[in-house]
Amino acid sequence: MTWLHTWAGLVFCWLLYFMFVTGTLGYLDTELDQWMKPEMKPAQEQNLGQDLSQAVAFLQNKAPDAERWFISPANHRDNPQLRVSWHYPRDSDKSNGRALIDQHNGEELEHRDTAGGQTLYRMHYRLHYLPSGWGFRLTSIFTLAMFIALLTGVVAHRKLFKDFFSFRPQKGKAAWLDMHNVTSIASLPFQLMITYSGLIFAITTWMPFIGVGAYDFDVKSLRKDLNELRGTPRIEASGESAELIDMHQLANNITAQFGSDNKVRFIEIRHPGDRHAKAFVRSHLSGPIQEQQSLQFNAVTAQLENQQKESNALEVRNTFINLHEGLFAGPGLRLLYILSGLLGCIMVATGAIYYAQKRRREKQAPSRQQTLLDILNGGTIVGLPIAICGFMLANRLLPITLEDRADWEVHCLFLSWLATFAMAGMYAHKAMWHKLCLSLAICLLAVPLVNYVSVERGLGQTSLESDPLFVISDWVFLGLVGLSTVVSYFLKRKSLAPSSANQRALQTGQTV
Amino acid sequence: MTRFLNYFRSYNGQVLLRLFAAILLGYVASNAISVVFAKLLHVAAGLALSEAALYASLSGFLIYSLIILWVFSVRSQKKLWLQLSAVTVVCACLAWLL
Repeated sequence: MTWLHTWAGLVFCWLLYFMFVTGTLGYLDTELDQWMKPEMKPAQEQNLGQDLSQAVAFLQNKAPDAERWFISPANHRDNPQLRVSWHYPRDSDKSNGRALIDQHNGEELEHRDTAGGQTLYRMHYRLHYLPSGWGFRLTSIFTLAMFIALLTGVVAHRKLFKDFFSFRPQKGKAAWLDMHNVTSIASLPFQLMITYSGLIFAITTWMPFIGVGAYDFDVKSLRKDLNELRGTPRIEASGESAELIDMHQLANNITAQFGSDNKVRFIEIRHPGDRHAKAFVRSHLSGPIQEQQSLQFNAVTAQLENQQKESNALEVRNTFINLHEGLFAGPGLRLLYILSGLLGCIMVATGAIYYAQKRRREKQAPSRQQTLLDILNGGTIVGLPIAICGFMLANRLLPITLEDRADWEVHCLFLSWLATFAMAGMYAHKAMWHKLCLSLAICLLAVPLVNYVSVERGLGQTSLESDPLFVISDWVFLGLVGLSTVVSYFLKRKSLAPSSANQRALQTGQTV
Repeated sequence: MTRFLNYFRSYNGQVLLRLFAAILLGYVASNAISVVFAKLLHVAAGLALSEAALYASLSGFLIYSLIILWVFSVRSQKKLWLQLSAVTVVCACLAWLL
């Protein structure tokens, strides 16, 4: 089991670390989005009917012949702005699109072209630069390796309690092992939940034969049953045109069902302008287990049609998915999610460092594999945060008119990551860690400084009450600067200190 | 040929064989077991077929992971291949019959 734990962990640890870091930042995706669109005005408070009619007026102008419209009213953390998207059938040559709508005039909201927090968050399950679908296929394999590493880890450390309470900070490699144990055990329930629910997403990708087999290979009726369960039946357009209902009327009917105006997460209008047009409504989640309320309206007559069928199995699945995404989490629970995610990052990182340390003690002179391990560890564990700083700096520094600006932000992320690997290679072994940490501190400091110069929001420019996001993010960056400076200082002192063998020799007066 | 076969007696060859058993045979076995599980839920426990298929799909990765763990914990390679193949064949037949 220990063998399996070591190898499942070691082979995938750098990619798992990437998934953990970008996934943890995914719990702040909307906040990052807002930070990266600093010129965006905050949304107005208006009722559901106004939001919907503004969105429909925009869509009728922009994409009248689309197959599906999605409208997310501005009423929740996830939707700080009124947001729409439109989708054409798969074989259409028109391209899908999305927009944020300015509620003051109903026009598209102007903001810089940015990859935003969404791109960073999507990287944790579909990576980047890979053809569509392949990234997810790969990350689900890594997730399975993670799950196996977790299970074997539990078996390998059967003395959970004893391990939890032992920490030997002065003992070198034992300290890394203790830290690995403490972080994993403290967050074990979260890690099991997040990993297994991650696998639930991959059922249709990697485990489709279970459903297909249960239906005796009758794929058609399987698909029909599943669509019915999900409350998304297939609807064909009639070809005859009919006017869409007044959105204020639809909003009234929705409010009558939900009992409140601001519970709508999104509305999907299928075949707008057709006689068979339907409106599907989903509510926000207030908890992981609360069944997601979904309604179906006839979008021509505003009549409520069938509601979602009850399915316990689907509810179990949705509970896993909801727990993974944490969309229901308020500020406190969100913080807990982020802390647990960070514990996961530390768990993976300390595991990788412990393996490298253990190898080092066994062999005296650093071998080529040892150097490679060090570079991969340093370049990934400290390099990735540096790269994310590069991503955020690119958002402020790239010219606003640059073509494919959003893509260039991501290129900047990977270019700065590459640079940290080069740096790790240059200073491999002793000086690498403290030099990388010092660079991290400098990059972290650059973010609020550049923000101060380029944008009129944040510390010293706006107040905590009027602009909490920008002020708090500045404080967080400054705190992280302090932390990485301190770490860098201690690492430097340690790397300059004589090794224990030298020390013993000095004490006994011998020369080494 | 004998050199090729001898490779599988070496440490690396043994590890490769075990990986092969865990990843590929384990995948087939976990699918077969899950299908039987789904059909049993449908036939014996009286769940709707769609519900049964969903429950079995939800537990699919757990079964797969446990099989991988088992593959790496059994000492004898021969016993491992025989038992895992037997389970797969029996489950496939059961899935066919149910």
